[in-house]
Amino acid sequence: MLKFIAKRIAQAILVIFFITCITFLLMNLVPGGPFLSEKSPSPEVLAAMEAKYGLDKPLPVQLKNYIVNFIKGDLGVSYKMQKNRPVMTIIKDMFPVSAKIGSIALLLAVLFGVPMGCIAAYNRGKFIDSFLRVVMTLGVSIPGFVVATSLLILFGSVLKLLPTIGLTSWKNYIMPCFTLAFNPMCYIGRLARSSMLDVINQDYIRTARAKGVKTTSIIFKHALRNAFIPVLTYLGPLTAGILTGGFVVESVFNIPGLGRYFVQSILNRDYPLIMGTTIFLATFIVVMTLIVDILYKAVDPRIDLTKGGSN
Amino acid sequence: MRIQKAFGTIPIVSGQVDIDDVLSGGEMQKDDFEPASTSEKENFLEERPSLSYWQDSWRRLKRNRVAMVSLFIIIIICLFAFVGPFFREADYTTQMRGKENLPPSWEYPFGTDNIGRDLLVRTMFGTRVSLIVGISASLIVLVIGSLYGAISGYLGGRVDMVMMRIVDLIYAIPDVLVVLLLTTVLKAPLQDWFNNSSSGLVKSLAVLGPSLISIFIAFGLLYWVSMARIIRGQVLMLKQQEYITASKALGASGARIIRRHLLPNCIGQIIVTTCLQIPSAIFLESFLSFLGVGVSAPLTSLGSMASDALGGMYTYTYRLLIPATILSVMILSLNLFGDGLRDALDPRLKK
Amino acid sequence: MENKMNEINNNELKNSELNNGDLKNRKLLEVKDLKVSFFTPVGEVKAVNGISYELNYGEVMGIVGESGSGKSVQAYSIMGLLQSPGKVVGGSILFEGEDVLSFTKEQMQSFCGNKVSMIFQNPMTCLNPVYTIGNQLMEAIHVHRKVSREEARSRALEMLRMVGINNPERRMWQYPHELSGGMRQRVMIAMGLICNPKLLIADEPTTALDVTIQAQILELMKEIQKNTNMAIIFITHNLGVVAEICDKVTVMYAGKIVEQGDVDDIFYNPQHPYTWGLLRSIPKIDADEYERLIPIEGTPVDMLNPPAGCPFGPRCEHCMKICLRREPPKVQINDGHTAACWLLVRERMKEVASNER
Repeated sequence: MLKFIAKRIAQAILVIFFITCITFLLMNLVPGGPFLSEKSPSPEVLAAMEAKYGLDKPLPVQLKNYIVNFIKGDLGVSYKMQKNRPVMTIIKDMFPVSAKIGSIALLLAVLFGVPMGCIAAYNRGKFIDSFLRVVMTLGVSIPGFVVATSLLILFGSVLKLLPTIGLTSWKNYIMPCFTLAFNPMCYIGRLARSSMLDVINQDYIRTARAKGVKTTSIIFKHALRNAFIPVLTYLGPLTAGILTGGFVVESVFNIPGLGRYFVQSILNRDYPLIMGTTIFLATFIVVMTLIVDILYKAVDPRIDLTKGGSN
Repeated sequence: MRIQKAFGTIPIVSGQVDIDDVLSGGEMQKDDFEPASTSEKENFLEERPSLSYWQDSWRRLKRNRVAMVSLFIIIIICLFAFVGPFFREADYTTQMRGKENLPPSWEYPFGTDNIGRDLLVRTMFGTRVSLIVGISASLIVLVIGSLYGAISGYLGGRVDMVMMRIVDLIYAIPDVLVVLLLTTVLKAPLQDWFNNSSSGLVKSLAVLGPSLISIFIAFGLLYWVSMARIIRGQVLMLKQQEYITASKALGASGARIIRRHLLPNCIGQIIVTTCLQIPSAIFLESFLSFLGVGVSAPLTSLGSMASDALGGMYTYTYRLLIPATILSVMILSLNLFGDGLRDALDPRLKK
Repeated sequence: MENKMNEINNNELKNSELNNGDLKNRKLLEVKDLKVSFFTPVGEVKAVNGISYELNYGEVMGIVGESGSGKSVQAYSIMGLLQSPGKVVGGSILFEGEDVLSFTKEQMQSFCGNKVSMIFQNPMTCLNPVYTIGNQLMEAIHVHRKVSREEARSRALEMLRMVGINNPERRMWQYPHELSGGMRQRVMIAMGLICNPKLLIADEPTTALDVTIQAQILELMKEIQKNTNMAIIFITHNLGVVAEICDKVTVMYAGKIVEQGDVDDIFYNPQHPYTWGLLRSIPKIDADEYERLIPIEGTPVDMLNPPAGCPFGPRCEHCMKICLRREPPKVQINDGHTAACWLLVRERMKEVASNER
């Protein structure tokens, strides 16, 4: 097991390295490169950049310098959005807000999605199943910004029940978190439903019933653990989804998180910021996927993830 | 031994038969104990007519009310998008002075925006753009994905393993980040290219805008992987069948086998996956357009219209809700229809 | 100090009188005119169309038939394992005098795995892959007996030894995917027997296994049956297996019983054309010359619209006109041996006619 963990960590580091290189190289497609393309901020900053990255040196050298600095925790300096402020500091300020909303959304998605799917599966063919299926398909089809704006209009403007701006009280969190959670929740629900239906028809469930095992035990002990496995594999992409979904939610609800900032930096062409944030977010996703993979192995004893590959 | 008779059921006859009892169980005919002819035996059995795979699937699909309603809605939306504008006088770019910010009325059912453009036409056009982007992106996914998957599955062995590892790697890449990155990166170079080139093809590409082109590139790079996996799975299954071995024995080349035997048998899966890819693509495009990194002016899509309307959300609520609703209904219908297709084409459910 | 689990078992064995020879002739299971149908969107499929049989304590009965004959479905109805759209639509099942079909859910749960156990066809998929086999064995005990973990564990080990699994202490904590097919089937048998059931229903337990493993499993079951005097219903399509282990045989076709009798009756004096067909298609290992394997012609009947007369008619080389018009009555050949065929009725009628002259 330890060998497996070590191997996966090494893999993750490789992927992060790969992403960093690609991002850096891509950014250099912009005429003049990420650091020089805009009218440079000020001579002092320019000098600092020169010192750190060697802006006249060939690309591979620049890349190496960038990576070295990355490991040290230095991702450059913002050019436009917050002049001269280190990217890493900006990230450190803004990310916790996004993380908070994101984790609440993740929790909501799993806590409501799984039971929703299981209830639908258990009552297959009945009204509650059809109803839940419609809701879940709706959730998967309606884009995040539609949910966000509809909620804002309904609860913020028409009914005037919830605050629309800022993050002052817990009430502020309701709409953004729900919006962010809705799509993943419904996706997990659909996944849980089909997985549960699959499991209920398996032979080993029939064996358990033939043994005289009580129904609650069959659902919670025998079925659920098997049905949860596909949901677990989805948690990796789910993190990525919540992260990117956050871009929209933060923009619409005016939440000062990293997502909104990132989108603005793209529109403003603040290249160092774009580059640094992309690499940071990608790294985060890779780490989360790694954790999920390890959890997966703990839940399903059959899987030999050292072999890898797709089945 | 006594004979027992159960009323209405088969009499249980013992060693010595009481003829009366058997006779009273039903009429006996004179030639009852003569052997039955083959034709009599055949008439005995009714054969249920067997249907072809497609007929059977179509029948099942027609029975699925949700799917049929969704199909109907999709057709209506397509008519709205492609045929609608012909019934309106104005173009989606025409600005009518003096008619800014009109509320919905008989003449302008969706009102006008702040520079006097007819919002109904713009909505129709936006729907058209969303649909075209969705379909084109899905076609890209279809071509790349099915070819890659078919080749990988057919060749098998080492090559297959390597190809699938690549797929795993691509699958792990966060798609939205890549699209955003590409948009940022390609904007300047593409703009230069558009301005400096004189070819007609490039000019028409220029209409799309660098962001949209980045989206298409991203689809070509990233989104075909799930299609590839599905097709590979199918091919692996089909490979075992005898007609493939027969073709190989007759000397058919790999490409030919893939083209003529394997891919046609995957058509069911191909259709369903492509059909479900379209709403995904529209979803992504609307999401990006909303953020401002999708279609660029003068092109408009439902997502960017929603984004434009964000500012006046509370005063001109309808400007946001209309494109949002059409978008949601469109994606929902496509998803429901795709689900229905998948159920209909699934041979396991054959009755 | 005696292990509490063993104490319970011994008491049960003593009180149950299974070892008492008198019991051999007492009825354990009585199925009367059982009818089971599946209500599908295209219509009602009459999977079991009125079957009746009896089983005494300690008897081993084989139920033979092709796929679709209804042999598994009727077993499922005994255990309450029928899933919708299947339903019992008629008849009764009496176990030790109690009507199984009227059991509540709780009664059923304490009945299954305890008084009656069932083992299934495909051992590869019958065990839950995420729990160890020890866990699943001990669960079978805890559901029906109030014993401590230690006692359950030692009973599970005892059962594993009984079914011939070596190194049971290690095997207990292995997962199903670490065991071979034959071993998994042994675990299933252990799980079925762990509460000393009076009846074991085996639904094609050896069909999915290699021939050599088949033989081993059969030997194991024979030995266990001899030691515990448990009744067994052995469902199979393989007459060779039936000859090995069964006392009596029931032959089913299209949801009905076509012939029933002792194993000797069926093999040496078969009376129904379907039984003849089955016997003819067994490859004989000691055949003198090249004998042709004679299969039964035709396709199985469509259970959706079962035709009026004898369902085997179109495939029967002795089919008469009446066979296509009316269902054949059940004819008694001698004590315990019956068959449902118009040929027999014709014989008797000829006898009666000649006697009358």
